Amino acid sequence: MTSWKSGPISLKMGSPTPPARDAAADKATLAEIGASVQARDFDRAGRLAERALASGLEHPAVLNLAALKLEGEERFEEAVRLLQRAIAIAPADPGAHNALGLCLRRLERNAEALAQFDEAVRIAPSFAGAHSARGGCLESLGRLREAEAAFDRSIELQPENLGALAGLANLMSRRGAHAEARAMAARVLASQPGYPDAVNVMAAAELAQGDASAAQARLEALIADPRLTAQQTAFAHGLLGDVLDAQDRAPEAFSAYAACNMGLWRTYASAYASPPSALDFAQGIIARLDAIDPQAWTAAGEPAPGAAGHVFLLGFPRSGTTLLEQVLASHPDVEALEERETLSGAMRAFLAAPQDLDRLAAAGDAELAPLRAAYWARVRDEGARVEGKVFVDKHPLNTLKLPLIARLFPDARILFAQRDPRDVVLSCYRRRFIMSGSAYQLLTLPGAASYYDAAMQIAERMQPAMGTRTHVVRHEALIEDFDSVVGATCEFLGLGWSDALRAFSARTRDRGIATPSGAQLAGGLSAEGVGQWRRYRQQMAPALPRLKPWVERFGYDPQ
Amino acid sequence: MTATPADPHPAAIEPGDAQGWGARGDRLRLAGDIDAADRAYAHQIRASVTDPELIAAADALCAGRAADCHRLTRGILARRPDDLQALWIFAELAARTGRLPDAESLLARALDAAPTFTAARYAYAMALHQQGKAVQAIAQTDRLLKADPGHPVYRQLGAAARMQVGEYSEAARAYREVLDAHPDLALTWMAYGHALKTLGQQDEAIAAYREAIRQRPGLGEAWWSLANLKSAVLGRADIARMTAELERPGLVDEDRLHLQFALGAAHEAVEENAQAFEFYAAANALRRAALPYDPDEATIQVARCKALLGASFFAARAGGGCPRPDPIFIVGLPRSGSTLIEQILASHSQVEGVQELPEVEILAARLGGTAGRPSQGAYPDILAALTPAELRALGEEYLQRAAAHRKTDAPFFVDKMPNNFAHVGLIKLMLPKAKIIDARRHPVACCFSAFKQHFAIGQAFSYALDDLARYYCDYVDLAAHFDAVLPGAIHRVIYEQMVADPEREVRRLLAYCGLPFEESCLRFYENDRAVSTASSEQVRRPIFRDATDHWRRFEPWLRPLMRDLGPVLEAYPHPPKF
Repeated sequence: MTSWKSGPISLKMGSPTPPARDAAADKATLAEIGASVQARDFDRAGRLAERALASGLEHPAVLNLAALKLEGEERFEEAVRLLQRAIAIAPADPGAHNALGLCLRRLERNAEALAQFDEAVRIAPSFAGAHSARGGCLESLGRLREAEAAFDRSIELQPENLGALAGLANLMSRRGAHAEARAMAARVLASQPGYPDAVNVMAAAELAQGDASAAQARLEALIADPRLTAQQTAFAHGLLGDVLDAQDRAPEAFSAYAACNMGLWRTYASAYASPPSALDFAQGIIARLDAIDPQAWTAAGEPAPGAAGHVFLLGFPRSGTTLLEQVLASHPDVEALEERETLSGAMRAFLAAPQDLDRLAAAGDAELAPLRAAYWARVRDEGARVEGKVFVDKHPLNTLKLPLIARLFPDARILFAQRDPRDVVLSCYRRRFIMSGSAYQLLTLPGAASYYDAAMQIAERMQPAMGTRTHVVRHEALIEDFDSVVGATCEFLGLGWSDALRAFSARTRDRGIATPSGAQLAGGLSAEGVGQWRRYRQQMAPALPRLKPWVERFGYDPQ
Repeated sequence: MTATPADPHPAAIEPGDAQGWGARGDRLRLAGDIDAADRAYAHQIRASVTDPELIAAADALCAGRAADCHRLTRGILARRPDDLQALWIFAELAARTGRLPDAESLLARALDAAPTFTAARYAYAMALHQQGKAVQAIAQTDRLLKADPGHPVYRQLGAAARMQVGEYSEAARAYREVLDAHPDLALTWMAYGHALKTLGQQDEAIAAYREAIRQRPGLGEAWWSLANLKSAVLGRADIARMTAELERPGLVDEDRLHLQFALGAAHEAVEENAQAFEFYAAANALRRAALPYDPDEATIQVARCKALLGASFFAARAGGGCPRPDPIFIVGLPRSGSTLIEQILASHSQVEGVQELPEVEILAARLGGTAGRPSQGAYPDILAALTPAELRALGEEYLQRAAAHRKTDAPFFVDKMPNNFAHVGLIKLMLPKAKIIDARRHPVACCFSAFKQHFAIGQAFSYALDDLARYYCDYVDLAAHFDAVLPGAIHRVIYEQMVADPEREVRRLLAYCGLPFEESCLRFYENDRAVSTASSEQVRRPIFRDATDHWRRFEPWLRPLMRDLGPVLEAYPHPPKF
């Protein structure tokens, strides 16, 4: 086996010098492509463009069409690269910016996509399609007010822009304004039957009006439509789950939720399925916390500049943080931010990987002060006016960042939203979140339960440092006795009582809440979500062992 | 691994003598010292390269500096993507770090450019074999042997691959040829013994195992192989020899636990129950400590199946999947009589037995994704998102994969992978017409039998009595669920009932499978087909009843197991209410 002959070894010498192009032939090619586009035969145009590109013809239209073909084949990463080349040649082409934005959206790179849509409407302010796409992007980023304005602008420019109409209808639907949403969706469907977003809006409206069977039929027809993208199919399954749930058909609802979640699992596998997962990360943090002296997290620090108080509102998704934030935000002396990544700079510096905690524990003020300043700058950029106010920074998953909060803001208070862990995890499983590493973790019950467990373990390990400045707000207690629970919370924050607190739901409707809780909260306080897990007792079985210690610890009824 | 036989000291080989290093690697591999063989092969690579960059990469490989080797080789390949030696180094590194698919594709690339690159072809065959791609591995070893017919390493690898696809006679012949030329290879004697045992040539198998032991008295696996023949081959003299081997300093755990399992069986055969149990317990504890087994995983996966796969789930998917009725799955726990049922079915003119196929498990693992633990993966939830076309394609893929293991054109075939009980849902969705037989045996008998058994691979739940009890309960729980949501879909064979009244049970079994009764199924022990599982000796005899109550001799030691089994034990053969 040792006497082998390798034969000649061929070497790649780099790309050969391109031959001089035949200008006349290129012109003919472009003309042929142009004719196909004119005839709206995009398949042919795409094939021609692909061939032209392979022959070395670097032209914006060719790149754009070749990208369109790749987009149709769901090869978004490659499409993005072609469109970036197109923009490099023709930076003022609004269509290329718009197309790039759309591809980035499919990759959930919403912040980058928004920059492209911004550029598209800057170059071409009357480009209705770009305004509409920008609205969808803003919605995904949780900036609902701006999303609404973008959709409005699009409709102003082009009253029958289906994307904008459906987007606006969806926003209405999210805030519980089903009648308006329905009217708008009907306009879309009249023009294009089966338009997925509009069908979802209609179904949600029917569900809200108690006509579950109509909603079910509508969604089942939508799911059977082969034109749907995997993501659209998944969302239709999720809504079907809600419809079946409303009919108290828990096993079927559960199958529909599973179909939704697994559709999303597959759609986003390339981005999130490879280790380390968000759970691996959280468990890594736990392991590091076990190795670091808890005293490291107790150092003193500076109070918030200008603000009357600084509060981190955390817990876990679906544990009642949105409700509590809405209530507090109704107080005249409170300024609140909802789920903004205010700690992202600090995360990059000191929590990019679990082992960074060692450096964080040992960091001096010279390293921490700039991150603190960057935090407040980000808070201002997000539109919060904190001067003289108690500033509430709400993000349920900041529980995982408690060590960072402890070191950066030793003066800040913590409001910890607590809810029956079984209701929390079931609700996480049933809701559709904007995709992220954490949201991916919530797509299976064991995954969601393990992630919940990890978050609570982190909170528990931070207890020695944070306990004295933490106030736990139990969701069920707040619903049962609003005044006394909210009163005690205000007292903890040094705030007096305000009757405005009771009117939080009117304000919620007005503010446009981006999290899945939005429409629910707009309806005011509701005990509907309490003990829901019992209806799914058998389906919850894979999650229960992991949650049992927390159910006991928090004193919930084991049955 | 066990100490290796005499071998020229590495110092005797010149650093630049690629052939010398290669030959040393071959000898070490034949002797079973895989790590030392890999080191020698790394030196062979080092001696084969002359380019300074490749030398640096090969040095890193020799020194076990994987990250350096990776960086250096990747740098070379970025500039010279077709550099054969760089591809070889990269592939070796990939194989050594467990990235076998990468090794496979790198070597395929090298061989495309240089078909006579023998070292790469051997590495390629090895990568295929280690991934269970036996048919492709055989094609490669055949090609290597064509150029170098007597090469023992190629012959041996080819034989191992043939064992995987059920070509036991060919494998035995190949081992025999290696041994004729190199009679001092203890591990090859043992592998030869395995092949002979599978072929039912018990006396020859015993002789082969004994020869392996003569050459290497501490070779635990050979002792265990003798003990595992079930027909009380080991006597008091053997007990004394094994006990002495256990005392020998430097005995590695792998040999120790095999010796302990064998000593358990040998003591049991002479009715020394306390000593037998003591050895079984020690062997299991040793094995359990080396396994990263988490019993919660199976419980969670069963709960997930129950949560998702209800009656409405199957009703909504009726009519999907691949409509072919060919496969008959036997599921359950190991040591529950599944080999017996397979042998009965395989004695029918319309049925072929293909033993335990990993194919369903492979499909399920692929559906579950890359998560390290099944509970963190997408399976079984992912079944909810599969379209009818995807389910059908899965069924067709299973049949295609199974076809590689089939030898006849009988209309039906039996896949008796016991662990498939966890995949009944997947099976019913992708192959709705497939038959599923649940082989069930008394829980204490089944669990104790598995406890006494050292499985070649897998069955990690079987090395502690509490793990076993939990797993058995999970299995009964899931089977009861499918009985409730798919009534009649699974046919249950209770082992003790089969033993008590074989004819009635065989008739029921064949009726469920839609097969006409054939007398040959009652005389299954006359069937001369090869059987490779732990029960292979038992099915060569008429049904014997002494196994059913055998465990009672060990009852004093099994009380914790009985307590853990609780309601499942009390309700047997019925499931308790879960």
